[in-house]
Amino acid sequence: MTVFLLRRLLQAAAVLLVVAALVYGIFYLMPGDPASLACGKRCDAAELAQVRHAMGLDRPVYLQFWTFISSLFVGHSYDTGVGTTWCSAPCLGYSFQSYQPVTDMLLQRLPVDASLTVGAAILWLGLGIGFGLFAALRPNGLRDRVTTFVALTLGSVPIFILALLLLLVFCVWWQVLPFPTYVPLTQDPGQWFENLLLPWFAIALVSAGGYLRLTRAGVLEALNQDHIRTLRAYGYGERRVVTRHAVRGALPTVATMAATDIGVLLGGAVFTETMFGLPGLGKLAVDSANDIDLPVITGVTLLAAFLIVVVNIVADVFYAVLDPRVRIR
Amino acid sequence: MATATALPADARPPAHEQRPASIRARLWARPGGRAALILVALLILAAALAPVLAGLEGQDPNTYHDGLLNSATGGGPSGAFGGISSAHWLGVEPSTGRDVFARLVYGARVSLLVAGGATLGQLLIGLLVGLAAGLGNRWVDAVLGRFTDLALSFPALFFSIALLAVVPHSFPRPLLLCLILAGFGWASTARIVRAETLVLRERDFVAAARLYGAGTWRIARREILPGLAAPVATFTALAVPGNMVAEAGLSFLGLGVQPPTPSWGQMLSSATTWFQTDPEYVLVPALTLLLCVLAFTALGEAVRRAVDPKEQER
Repeated sequence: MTVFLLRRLLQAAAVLLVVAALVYGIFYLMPGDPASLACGKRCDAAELAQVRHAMGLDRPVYLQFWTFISSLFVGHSYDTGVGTTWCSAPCLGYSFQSYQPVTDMLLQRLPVDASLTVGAAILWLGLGIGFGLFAALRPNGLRDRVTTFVALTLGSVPIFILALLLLLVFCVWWQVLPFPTYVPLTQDPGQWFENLLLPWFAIALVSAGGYLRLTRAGVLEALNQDHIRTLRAYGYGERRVVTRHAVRGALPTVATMAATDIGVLLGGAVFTETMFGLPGLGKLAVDSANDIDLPVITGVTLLAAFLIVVVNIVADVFYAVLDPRVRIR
Repeated sequence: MATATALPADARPPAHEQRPASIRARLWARPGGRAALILVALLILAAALAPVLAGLEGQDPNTYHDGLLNSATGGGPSGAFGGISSAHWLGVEPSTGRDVFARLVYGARVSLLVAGGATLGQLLIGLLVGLAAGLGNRWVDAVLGRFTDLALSFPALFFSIALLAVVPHSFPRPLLLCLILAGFGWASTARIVRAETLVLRERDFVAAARLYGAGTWRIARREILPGLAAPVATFTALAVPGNMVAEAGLSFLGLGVQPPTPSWGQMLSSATTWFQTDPEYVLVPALTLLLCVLAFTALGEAVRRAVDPKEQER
């Protein structure tokens, strides 16, 4: 187990390093000078040279990259011209637009994505596993085919269209819900819940189909096994056999997929946040891309990659814990 | 296909020729597959004939019609249902008065072009990497395998957003979209191709070809590639709607196709500000895109079923 974790962590570190190098490469080596972007429109040659020096852009590329990576772990001091500021680890630099530390900006946005993820995950797991069991009770029957078809269709609807239609129906036509704005949980739990209801449903309806399929397939496979035959021989009813015992056959794959999806969602739900006007990491990515705010979008991308990598390791461990047949090597 | 002239007709193994034809026949035999095929064909036709269709209506996608707007609603279209009339079949765009139908059919061109180009790119990279990994030695396989893993654990959406923001606007956007979507989306194709290649390379006909002195490239092209038709066809068919959604999404974020080129994503994003006053303008691009995506998904699903040997037994 320890060896496995160590190896996975090493691999994860390698992936993150490559991602960092690529993001860094895209932005700092592309046409378009970061210094002139940071400096703004009215910027004379002397000021530009000073900004360039302050950002370290006058140094060789490999040194710049090294500074970028090392400041993630030990922080970095910036020469602002009138003095130095200390950016403590994990330092991702300062925004060109707001001059805030990027790390702080990311941390401010994270609660929005956490709220979004928690509610959506509970919903899609409930819907997916629930209807998956419902479909597995009588495989290839009418209700199996109807639920599978509905789930498949919903699953292929683009999230921004579903969001748009939900907004149109619930906020414009029926006016039963407010146009979502983010209210922090700590400020007003009721408002928080009401405002996040539509985003949660939008994500969950699109995602639940995959879980339905996995649950259904896992349960149907488990139903062929000996322990289920024994339970049936004891005279347990079909419903009980499926919902209490066969469901365990589906758990490892469902948990693995859930871990991956949750990791991706935590890193920012670009379309959901844009559509519903929620100030999360995905919205931050889009806004900073439109402003060509390089340090910020670099930070968002790295954080997203970090979450994906971490969650993949968690998913592997999950799988091994939930399925005793899998040995971690 | 390109090699058909390389050998006399009778030297070609007949099985390779019959296989794709029978997939097509099986696809047509299913009502679901037939409906999806017809719908997709109609969509492609509408995109190809965009100037003709707009001409039939007597409109073009870029003319402003200020006279059709109602200043009382802040520039929303005058008349019911988004200004639908015999001259403007789907109404006019709020604040500009451009014809919605014309923009819709022209927008289909961008959507299909980018989806098709991106899918083709994914397919080419995926085939090359997959074949090389499957047929190469252990070292090649290991390197390409790491490379594929890396591509799969990439935050592709954030990368695309970043790239689209940074690349200068003088670079043609539809091409850039194709390149980006292909560059981030080939990994799963490569995996499948590699897995299938590893199975196929152990078969007797490959050993026979090798005995005859065929090189790796020739084996890849003449022996392995035809056997990959089924999984690759399924994968490609299912990739098209995904790429279509990706293009619309990136254009929706304002990072894809730039105005004045009409695209569905842009129409959607400008529609979001007209929710309350002009819901019809939201519904037209949303439902069109939805219909397209569902049609292509249904086609992909039908191809999968037509190709899957397990489905044949039923």
